[in-house]
Amino acid sequence: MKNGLYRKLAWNNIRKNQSTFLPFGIVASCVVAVFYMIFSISAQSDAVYQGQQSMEMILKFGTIVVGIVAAVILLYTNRFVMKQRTKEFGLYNILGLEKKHIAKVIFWETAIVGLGSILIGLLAGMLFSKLLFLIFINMLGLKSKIPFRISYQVLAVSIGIFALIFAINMFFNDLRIARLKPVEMLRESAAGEKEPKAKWVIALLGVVMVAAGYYISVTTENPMKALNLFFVAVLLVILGTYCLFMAGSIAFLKLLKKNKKFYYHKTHFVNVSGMLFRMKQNAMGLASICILSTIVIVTLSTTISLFVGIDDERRVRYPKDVDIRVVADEKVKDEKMVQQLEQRGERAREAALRLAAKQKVKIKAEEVYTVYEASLFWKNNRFYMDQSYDLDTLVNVSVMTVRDYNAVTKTKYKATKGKYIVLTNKDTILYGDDLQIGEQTFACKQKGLIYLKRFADNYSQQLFILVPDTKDMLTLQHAFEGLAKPLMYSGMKRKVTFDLSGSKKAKTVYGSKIGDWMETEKVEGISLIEDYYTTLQTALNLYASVFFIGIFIGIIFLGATVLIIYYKQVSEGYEDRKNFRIMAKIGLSNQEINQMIRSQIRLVFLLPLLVAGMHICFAYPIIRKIMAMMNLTNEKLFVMATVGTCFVFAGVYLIVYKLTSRVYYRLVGTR
Amino acid sequence: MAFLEVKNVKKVYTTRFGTNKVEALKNVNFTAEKGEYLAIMGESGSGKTTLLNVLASIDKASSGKIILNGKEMDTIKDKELAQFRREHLGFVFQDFNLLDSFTLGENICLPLVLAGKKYPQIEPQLQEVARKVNITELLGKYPYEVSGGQKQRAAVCRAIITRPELILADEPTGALDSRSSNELLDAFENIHQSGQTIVMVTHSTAAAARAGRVLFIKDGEIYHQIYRGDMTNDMMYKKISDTLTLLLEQNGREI
Repeated sequence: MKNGLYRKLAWNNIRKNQSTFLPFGIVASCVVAVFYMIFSISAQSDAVYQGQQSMEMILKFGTIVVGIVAAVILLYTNRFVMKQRTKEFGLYNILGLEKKHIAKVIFWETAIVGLGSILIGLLAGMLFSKLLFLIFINMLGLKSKIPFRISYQVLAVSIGIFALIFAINMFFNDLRIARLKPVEMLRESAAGEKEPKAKWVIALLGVVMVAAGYYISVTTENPMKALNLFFVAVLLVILGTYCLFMAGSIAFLKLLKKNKKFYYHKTHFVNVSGMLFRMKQNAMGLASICILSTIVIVTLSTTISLFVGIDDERRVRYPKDVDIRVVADEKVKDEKMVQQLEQRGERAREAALRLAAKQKVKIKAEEVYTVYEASLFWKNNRFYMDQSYDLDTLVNVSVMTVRDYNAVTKTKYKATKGKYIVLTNKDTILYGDDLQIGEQTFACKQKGLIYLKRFADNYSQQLFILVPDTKDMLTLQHAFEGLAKPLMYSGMKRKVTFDLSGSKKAKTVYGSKIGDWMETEKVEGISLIEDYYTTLQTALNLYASVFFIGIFIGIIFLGATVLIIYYKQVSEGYEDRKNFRIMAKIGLSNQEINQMIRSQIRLVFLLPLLVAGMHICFAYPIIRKIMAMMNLTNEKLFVMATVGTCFVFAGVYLIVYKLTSRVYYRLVGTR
Repeated sequence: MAFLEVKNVKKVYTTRFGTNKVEALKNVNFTAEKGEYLAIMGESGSGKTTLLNVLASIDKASSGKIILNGKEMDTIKDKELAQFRREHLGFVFQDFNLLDSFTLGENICLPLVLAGKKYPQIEPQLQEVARKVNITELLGKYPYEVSGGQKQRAAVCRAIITRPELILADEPTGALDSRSSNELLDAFENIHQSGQTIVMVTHSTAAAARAGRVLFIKDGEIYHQIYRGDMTNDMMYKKISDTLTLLLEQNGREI
């Protein structure tokens, strides 16, 4: 027979089975669209994040997660479609089409539906992302840097991935047809599903994987490692969730069933047995809902806290409004050169004051001090320097005089000649009674653990060495530089920092002008000028895009969740109709049936939400650490954002539940 | 007063646009005593299923009265109807209507569980009814694992487990082969002998021949009835088929 015939047959089948193919096509298109949108944002994210690798990594990882969920959804919905189609194929078989001919029909069906969904999905993805983008720009007035250009590479990869998924579907369909006898095919859709067996091993595996993911999240201390471990934990929890919903739920229901006292109860009886059978097909859908819900909540809450917390984040990084660093022209070798450096600093300070007078702002809380800074590594109780750049062992060293340190931090350390004071935020560096740098040993007066409110963040190791005199700074500089060359960020600096008071506009103008001002005043040795207000503006622009992407992904995933819920309700409505009709016949009033349906739906709906809530709770510690790495240390804000998002999401979820259960009720036909 | 009394029952169906009226039941009158085994025979379209539905309170009569055990069915409120059905009536359907997600045992227990009974009460009743129709060893199986006859016997169990006053059976042998039919009818006879009132609608002569009395319904009216008296099943069978032949001949003359 000619190929054209199969194509025509396939096309006719699709048209005649619209009620089966249409929902499947819609779901497939949406899945493709979602994947495309995430993927294209991820591919363009470098424009937005500008080296913020963690965000880029998170997006890439997000793309992979979406890919997995997409594959699962498509495989799962395909199974539902095939079950309804098998009878038809059985009929073909009996009417004289060989199985290899049926395979050809299936090939064409898959090709038409698959290609159609991929095309529609990609188009919808492009249009929708552009539309959302425009709405956001107009609504929030955000300046986003995402160009939303269409990348051929992204298109090609998306097409490739989904073509593969559809090919796998086709393979399974052919396998199914090849395995069944014609008579079995005829009976397939009418035959009751076999009672699912409790797969204890998989259930246990699910528990272990979820527990392992939770354990990683709760116990990870080092934020530098947190990001990588976070991915591992997320993968474990996702796989574990699927296992738990698939096998764990059945095992759990079987246990309930064994408990005769619980089982033989008006609502439990029907619900438990109904769920038991239904879980086989529903597990995938419920697990997907659960995972997507978790992703939505995490994305939205972190994005909101990042956006709202910009101010805090900038303050951690830029504690003072203006920070001017002055360095010498060459390496500072003796006290005379230190004095010259201090004079340079003074000139810079005077210039800054003159500008303040001109711009009508006042300078307050001035802090001027000399510091020797270097970054190196600490391992096995000694300092060292090499190319490994191991973030775990990185130590930022600051050497200051006791006088300066006391002045800046309002502390009262006492200087003793020839003895140093060592302060740090990590106890690992506090080894021994004295300070060992290379082969040299320095006597220490005291060593102490401090919590840093100033200077730097608490998540990397900071070491302060307070010395009685400028001469000691030079000694330590010599000792550190004897370790290796070159040291990172090393050198003697004079820091001139202060806050501004005045109108916000005046302060912003001051910040934007200070750099040029120093040049016109011909102040020498300015190595860096940072001002809080300029950097805040930059950050706002940067985070606007981050915020946009977060909201965007949140909306996409929410849409996907709604879709799965809808699909589930519809597919179940058809199946349950028969059961509830029977129950009506043997003496159950409509009211009682509705009650039963409600409790059943509620259970099915609340389960993913509850598990998602549990995931969020356990994910919280590790996400907080990642956020801290991005300098968001305002925990109260983050807790509020998370809880708020959870509530809003639960609200939306419930509305979707109400709306879709109407569809279900209509199908079951008790109203 | 009779146990079941059907008085001047009429049922008129109106087509959707109200232009055509179809009289499914014209004027049905009969009574049944407690413990009677009554068969209602008639051709397709004669109104026998309508009659059963009205008896079962699934459908409402247009006029007339149905009194079961002194209680007039019309007076029962809609809300209480389901409960009434559950407590006073048992049903056996042609297509079994078992739930696929339950084992046979669970299907049988369903009415009791729905009525809020506790497991310790349910279990002995389940064993008792299962023994009556001989499916004790099948209780753990699912409907798709057993034959049609076995399914129907389970359905009978489900109908009698609530100890209803009246069992209504709608073509119970309609989907069964002759051997399964016989086993089912044996089961019916068995439960009838233990004092159960049964009303069965059928067009199988063999099934009707097992009943204590057979009512013939035609065009919405009862026009004949046969009492078993001392007749054996075979004699009953002969008599029913004679009556049916007579009916056919009458029809022929009318045409």
